[in-house]
Order: sequence, then structure tokens, then C-alpha cells
Amino acid sequence: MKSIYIILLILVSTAFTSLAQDNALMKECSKYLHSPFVSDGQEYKAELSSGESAEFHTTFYSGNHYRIAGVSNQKDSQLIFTIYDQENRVLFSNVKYGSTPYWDFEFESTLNCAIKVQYISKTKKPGSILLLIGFKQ
Amino acid sequence: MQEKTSNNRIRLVIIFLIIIAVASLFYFRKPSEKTTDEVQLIEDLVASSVEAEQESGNIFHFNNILFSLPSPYQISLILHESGISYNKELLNPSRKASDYITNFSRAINFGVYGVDLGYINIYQQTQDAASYFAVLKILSLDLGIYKVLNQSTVNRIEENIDNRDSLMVIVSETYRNIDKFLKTNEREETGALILAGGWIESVYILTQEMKNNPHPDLMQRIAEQKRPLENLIKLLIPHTEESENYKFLVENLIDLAYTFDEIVEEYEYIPSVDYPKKKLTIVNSKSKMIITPKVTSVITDKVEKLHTFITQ
Repeated sequence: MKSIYIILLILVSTAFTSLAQDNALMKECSKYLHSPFVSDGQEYKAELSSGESAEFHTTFYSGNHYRIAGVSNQKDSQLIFTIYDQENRVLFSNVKYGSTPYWDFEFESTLNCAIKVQYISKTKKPGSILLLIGFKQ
Repeated sequence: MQEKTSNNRIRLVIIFLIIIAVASLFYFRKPSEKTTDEVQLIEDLVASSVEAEQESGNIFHFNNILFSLPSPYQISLILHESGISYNKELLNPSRKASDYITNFSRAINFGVYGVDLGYINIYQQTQDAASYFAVLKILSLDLGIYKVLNQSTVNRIEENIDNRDSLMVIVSETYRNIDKFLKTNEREETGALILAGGWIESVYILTQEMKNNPHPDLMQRIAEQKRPLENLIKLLIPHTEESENYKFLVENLIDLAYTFDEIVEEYEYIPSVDYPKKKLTIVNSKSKMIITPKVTSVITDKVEKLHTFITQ
């Protein structure tokens, strides 16, 4: 009986810690994506080991001003995000700008792009990453 | 014996309190300021990026979902910017909400009404906003996502109902929280339906407006939905077997995608220009979709059929 209590306590505390970390990640990322930027209504989260990348595809409309913001939950880590066009040419990479956590974009035409986010940790710790996309007129 | 049990309970309570205290430390910790050492560390990390990329070629997909959709708000903004007037007739009447009794119809119409509220909001038709917001509250309760649409969010929305920009930000944040809640609770199929409802409603409004006010710019905007539709299908496909309705929806979206495939895409790469001080990049590459009035008309009919299916 005692061991069941302990297992339950560990499960509850693990869930609580995980939720707390998720909230902290969202809070940190939201610092870069606030009004007047409007969220696209989705969150992009991944658990990665150092050196691994996550990738997703989206459409950016012409005439909108976009912001991409990305953070990780590890202090000693960095996120490098790179945007590719439909022919796999690099349109932008934050690696040129000290891997800044956010960057704005304006598109002359509506484009279908791929965004690749690479997580790098000096201590090789795995981490959670979160990316948000917002736009304004 | 009783004393031993009591001691054990006290010990358990102490362990629990310690766990809570440690977890709270995680929760309330403040993001630290970057020290000079950390800045140096970051520079080192950036320098090692290419090396790490070579070491690990692994690519992971966000939440196992590779594709995302643009905000459905953007289509309403496009219509507003094109000078097209508000047309309440195109919206799904709020009185129909009580007809939706399955998870499928509630979720997909949550997406529909969300876009309708966005459309109303962008056109600042506050007299209509309250009833659509009320419907969203009821559907959120039925869908078990009312926790996300909590009292403080409801108050924020109600207080800003006539403030277009604030409402747009709050509603979009709420949708993001719903998306997160559904993914965390392994209810991706419901989240995908909300996105599907939003996409179908926004393209329905766009195509109907094109029918009423034909314009090459609107035709171009319809054509631009080609890739978002492909992304939507990829989001829905893993859940096709959920129900007959789900299957019908996916089959009809695939059929619609075949029509979109008749659109020819032209693309020209032009180097982007970065403005580091503004943290801004202007992406100059050009893309054009060649769409005929005939294809537009077929798309309009197919979207109308889908719209009738989800809102009936």
C-alpha cells in the first residue's frame, strides 16, 4: 500500500513539474510574441537531444508582417532556426544574428516554406523547445 | 501498530510537501539574465552548430505533426482589406449550435464559429459578437475544453468585445491554448477538427465573396489555399477511422485537393534582404498561382458542399 502511495506521489509530482515547465516555456516564448502580434492559434513543441532538429511546413501570406519566436527550457542551450523556400534555398537563418530568439518577416509574395529548428546544448542535455508564429497587419 | 501507521502517514505527507516545494521552485523560477560567460557560451554554441548538424542528422516533427495552418483570421483580414463589405448571411447562424450533438459536429463547428467571430470582430460588428461568443462558450463546455476558456479568459474577451485588435489577440491566444490542451490530453483528433472547421469556413466565405464580387486578387487568394489544404489533409489523415463523418470529410477534402492540383505554380527565387537593427527580413522571392475561372468555380462548388456537410 505504502509503495502505491509513493508511486502515486511521484506520478503527481512529475506531471506537476512537467506542466510547470511547459508553462514556463510558454511564458518565456510569449515575451517575444505579444500584442499587436496575433498567434496563428497553434503551438509547436518538441523534445530534442542536442544537435537534433525539428521541422515543419507552413504558408506565409503576402501583405502580413510575421514574427517567429523560439525558446528552449535549457539555460545552456541555443535554438537555431532556418527558413527554406519551396526549392530548399535558405531565406533566413538566425545563426547570422547570435541565434536571436525572435525575428520578423515580410513576404512580397505568398510563399510555402519549411522552418527547421535545431537545438544545441553545450552540456549535451536533452531539452524541450517551443516555437510560436504570429502576424500583424 | 497504530503509532507506526501514523508515523508512516506523516512521513508520506513530508515527502509529498518536499516534492511540491521542489516542483514549485521549477514553476516560479525566473528566467535568468545572461552573464558575459553565457554570452560567450552562446557564441560557442552557434559556432558549433554546423558541427552538431553533421553529428546528428535526425529530424523530428513537432508533436508528430509536420504541417501547420495559417491563422484563419488572415482570410477575414484579406477580405476586409479588399474593401468587401460585411455579409452576415455567409456566417453559420448561432441558433444552429444546439443541433450539434456529436463530438465531430461540435468540434468542427467550434472551428466554424471561431472564424465567424473573427470575421465579425474584423468588421467590428459588435452587435453580432456576443451571440457567437456565447455559442463558443457552450460548445467549449460540450467539448470538455471549458477549462481553457476559463472565467478570466471569458472576462477578458467580454471586456474587449468592441476592441478589434485586443480581441483578435486574446481569441488567437485562446485557440493556441485549446490546441495545447487537446494535444496534452491526447485529443489531437478534436484539435484537427477545429482546424478543419476553421479552414473550411474561411475558404467558404472567401469563395462566396468571389462569387458575389469576382476579382483577380480574390481568385489568387483562393489559389493560395492549395498548400494549406494539403497540410490540413495531412493533419486529418491519421484520424480518418475515427468515424464515418471523419472519413467522409477527409475523402471530400482529398477530392478538393485534386481540383487545386490543376492550379499551376510559378516561383522565382530572389535573395532576401535582412535589416538587423529592426530584426527584420524582407523576403523578395516571387510566387504566382495560375488559376482559371473554371477551376475557381469548381472549387467554390466543392467547398460549398463541404460547408453544408459540416454545418447541417
